[in-house]
Amino acid sequence: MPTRPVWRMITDAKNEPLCNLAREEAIARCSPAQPVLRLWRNSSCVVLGRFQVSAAEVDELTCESERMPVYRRFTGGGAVYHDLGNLNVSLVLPRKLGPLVDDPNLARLPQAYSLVLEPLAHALRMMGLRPIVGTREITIGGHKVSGVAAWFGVGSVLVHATLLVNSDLELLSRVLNGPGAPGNSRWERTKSRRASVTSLAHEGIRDLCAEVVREAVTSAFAGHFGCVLERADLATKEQELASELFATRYSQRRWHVEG
Amino acid sequence: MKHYVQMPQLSETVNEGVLVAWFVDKGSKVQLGDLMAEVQVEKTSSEVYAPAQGTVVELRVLPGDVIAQGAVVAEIDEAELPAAAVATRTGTVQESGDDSRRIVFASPAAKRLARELNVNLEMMRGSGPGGRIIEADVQAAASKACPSDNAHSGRVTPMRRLIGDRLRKWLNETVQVTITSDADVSELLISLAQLGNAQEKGPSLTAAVVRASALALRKHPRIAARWREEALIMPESFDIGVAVSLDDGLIVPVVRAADTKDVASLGREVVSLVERARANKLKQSEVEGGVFSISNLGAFGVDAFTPVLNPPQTAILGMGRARQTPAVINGSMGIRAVMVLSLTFDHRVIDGVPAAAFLQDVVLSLQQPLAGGLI
Repeated sequence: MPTRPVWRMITDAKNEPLCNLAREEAIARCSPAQPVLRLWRNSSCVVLGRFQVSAAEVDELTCESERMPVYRRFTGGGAVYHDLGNLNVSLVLPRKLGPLVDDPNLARLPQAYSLVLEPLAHALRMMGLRPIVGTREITIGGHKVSGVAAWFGVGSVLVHATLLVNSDLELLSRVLNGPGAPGNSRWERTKSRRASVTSLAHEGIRDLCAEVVREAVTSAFAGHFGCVLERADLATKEQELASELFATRYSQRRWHVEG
Repeated sequence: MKHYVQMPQLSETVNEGVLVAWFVDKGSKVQLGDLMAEVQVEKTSSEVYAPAQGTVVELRVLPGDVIAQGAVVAEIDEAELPAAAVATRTGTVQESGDDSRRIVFASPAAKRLARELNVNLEMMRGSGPGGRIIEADVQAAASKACPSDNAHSGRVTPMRRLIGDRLRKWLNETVQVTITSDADVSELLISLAQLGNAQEKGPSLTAAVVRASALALRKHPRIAARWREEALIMPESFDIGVAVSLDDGLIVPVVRAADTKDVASLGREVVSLVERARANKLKQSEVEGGVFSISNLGAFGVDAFTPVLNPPQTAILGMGRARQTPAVINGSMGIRAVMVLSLTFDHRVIDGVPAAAFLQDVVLSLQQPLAGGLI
């Protein structure tokens, strides 16, 4: 008996950034047969956008003193700070099924970002907050709490976002304080947009536990897309590709430094 | 013939993007769909694929270059290909011997469908990104070309397609067997009516079947087991789903711990779930975790049917209508209300005899509502 469409929900247990970045890319590149919602966290690190200039985006001295690794993801967008107080929310949609078929405009920019920003904002409303959904971010009281980036592949679209739950905002502002690189056309095209940030904890949502936030986010996505989220792990081919990407890309310093 | 590789048109608000990397060199041989380059438009990275088979004869831009969406970034020459292959190829800017140029920008799936439906893509404007022709455009064009067919066809909605795909998958993955039995519900209908009053109708037959099933599941818990590849999950609570039809599909809200509730409570709960399901107001938690399902087509005049399993559940019970039927009772003829119950079960989990025993207990409970503790 058919019910609502079943989507996969992957909740990563490990917080190891390099493995998580490899898994992210593998899921997207394997073009899953059904949509995937992935919730994951990384231990403290900075993650650059695909084409960003590392030395221009981060304060290297602070990163060094704080032993903060700087990594690179495969999607566009700006540099972000990750720690266990930040929840990463990823949505991978096949092009031949689901929301992208219902509304092909969602595979355009900037509409694609709304695929994640709208349900995330709904989750925040469920927590009693008053988020404002912008084209590329969610703000609360004028401060950014969530940013987004995307990847368009031939078989699928990935949109992912950060959600600052109870991150160390002071450390965030110190590490994402690079000198810039005026005159460098690559930097000019890809530089991060500095914004004042906030977190759910900062907005008065106390006693947050990751499980509660995950539940609100899960519920909001299920309601927004009218789907049932079924817990799952990576499929075999996704795991194999993740291992390959880890070995050939994410474990290689050159990828993170040069892109 | 030359094919021009274009910067994808992804954004409506930003005109330009950056070419991040080439994955081919000048002189490389490429196949249709091969990954050629990676680009970034605002906060999104995207891949560029070969629109045709051939040799890369020119890379017009360098990594890091800023390029307008739609601009040509590379050329592919397929001069070595046989003429027949060239004649059928679409998907890029094509240059032929004369001065005329036509642009055909279509997805591989759209091209395949166009060949099947004999649709000419050359004059079409697609609804995909950057005007790309997608399958839906080809379908629409084919429908316009065949108005007589169109008059008899209905659009397969995404939800309908999903339902179809899921059903086919479930039927392939499970071993579904259906058994049926008649239940004389004459006494039950009287008892249910007596539970009502002037303001409120008595509980429905569905509520009674939910309770009868839940009580029988206590005795036959394996019927409520859920099949997982790694193990069979036995139920911790007899949470029963009740199928509710929507405009284009079904939803199965769940009555929690149905064996612990009386039939009047179940009646109210079922009514509430059905109303909220049709108003699209169910919470996610209300449609998850069912261990057994009930589907009632009796209200639509159906006598009997074979319900389809709702995996990973093991069984589903179908209710037909309670029809007035001549019957022999204690040696004399009478009219009784008889309902056909159809139990579909997964033969991987249980065999026919325990399934029959479960169904028999449900029937007995419905036939003797007072003695069996149903009411």
